[in-house]
Amino acid sequence: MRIIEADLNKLKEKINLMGILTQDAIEQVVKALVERNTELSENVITADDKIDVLENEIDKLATDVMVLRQPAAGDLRFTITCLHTAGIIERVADHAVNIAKHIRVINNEPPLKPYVDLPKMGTITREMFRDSLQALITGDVNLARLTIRRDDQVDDLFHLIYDELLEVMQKDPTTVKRGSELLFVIKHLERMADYATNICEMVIYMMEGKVIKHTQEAF
Amino acid sequence: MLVKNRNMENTSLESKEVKEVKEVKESKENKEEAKNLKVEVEAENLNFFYGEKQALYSINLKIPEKSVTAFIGPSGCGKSTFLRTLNRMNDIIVSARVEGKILLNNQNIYAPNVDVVDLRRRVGMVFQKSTPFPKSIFDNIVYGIKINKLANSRTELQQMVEQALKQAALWDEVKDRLNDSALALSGGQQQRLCIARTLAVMPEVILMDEPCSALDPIATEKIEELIVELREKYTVIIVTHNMQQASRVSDYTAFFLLGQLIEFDETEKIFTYPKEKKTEDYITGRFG
Repeated sequence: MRIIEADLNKLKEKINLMGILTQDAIEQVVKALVERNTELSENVITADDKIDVLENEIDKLATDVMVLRQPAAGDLRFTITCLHTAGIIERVADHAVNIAKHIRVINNEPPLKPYVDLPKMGTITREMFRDSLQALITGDVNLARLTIRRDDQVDDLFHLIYDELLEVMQKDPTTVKRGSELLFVIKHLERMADYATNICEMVIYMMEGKVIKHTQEAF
Repeated sequence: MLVKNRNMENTSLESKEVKEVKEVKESKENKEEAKNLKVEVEAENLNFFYGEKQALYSINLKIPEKSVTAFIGPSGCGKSTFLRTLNRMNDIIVSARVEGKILLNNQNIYAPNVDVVDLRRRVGMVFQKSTPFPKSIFDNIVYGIKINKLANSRTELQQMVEQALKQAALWDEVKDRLNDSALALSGGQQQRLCIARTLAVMPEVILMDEPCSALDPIATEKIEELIVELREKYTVIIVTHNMQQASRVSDYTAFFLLGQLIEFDETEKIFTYPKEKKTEDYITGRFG
């Protein structure tokens, strides 16, 4: 086996683990929000430390691979992708933590209205992140491209919920506190979906050597 | 990305300023491309034989002028053989036979009327092991100038020596001891002296066959810096086993395998996203 192979496998394992933990975090905050389970959301905040540690480990390992193994071609693109993606996943996890903090406030207040579109937005975001991770681990560019396209659904739901929340708050100013907390939540979910898109863009770079971010193909 | 109507958004973002920046960038890129496309050396359907054994198969390659091109590939792949066809160094091998053409500025160097001595002045060569003459530093440089009758006076001769040594980044180290033996120089200095000797006869192309393989990292770095500088005035073609060296110094890279040219492209592309699986396998160490 090539010497670099063991390092690249280790990188892949760590990215996968980081992704799985973050996927759990998204799942738990969405569930905590919909089921009004604050305890569940607190777990997300405590579990975040492990994700931060993994990011540092991946940064170090990827840097070591660059310096000591001097990767080229596919190996180089994989290493760059891991380095970049670890930062993206960490930010997704941070958004989950931020949602968990908003849940503390939201769940202490009476429900604003029955959630219909919010769980939908949460589910699509979670699925997008899951699929982006799978595309990364398996190098599946088709899945990456399909996932990028789903970002529109999340954006549409964001606008829909945003408008609804504004309407509710305008009608009844006592709901402003809960309403604005929920506005933050949907913004975090929307950003998470963006990050899933960024991971998919990295998958396309990794597999095809094409940089599609900030290009029409990214949309 | 949170944009309701992306097409509209993109159009409105395309302000006059943005368009202008894009146009300037495109025009620069086109100029770059046009510059790069000017071919200095071209191989046309080149086959090469050592007696019965074929060493190169139908090589077609266009090397742009004023650039550095690296030839990479495993031992015995034909990269050095191909390099030597570019100034007919293989002619001295009795059993060697060439089919096809090598064009230097559109002229076939294998045409019957070609003066091989003049060809080797125009296409200079630096070897793996430095090959200084057992003479003084000054005489090493002067040798080719005198043979080719390139200087009209002693003053001009001295100027040419100084210029060649400066171009080879050796002048500051030897200017006070030009009459010392070239053999007293360090390995790296000797190699730069050989480069200076090549430059002194005003070549168009410089061929380098693993010029750093016998040097330590510091001497290697000096030669590499020199190669990058030489690109401004000369077309440099280098054979190297060191892929990091190829990626550091070259603009274009050609990958050879079993006598065939597998891939030729910009170095950046070869090392980040090669088109051919064989290239990828070689540069990632999967074989060779």
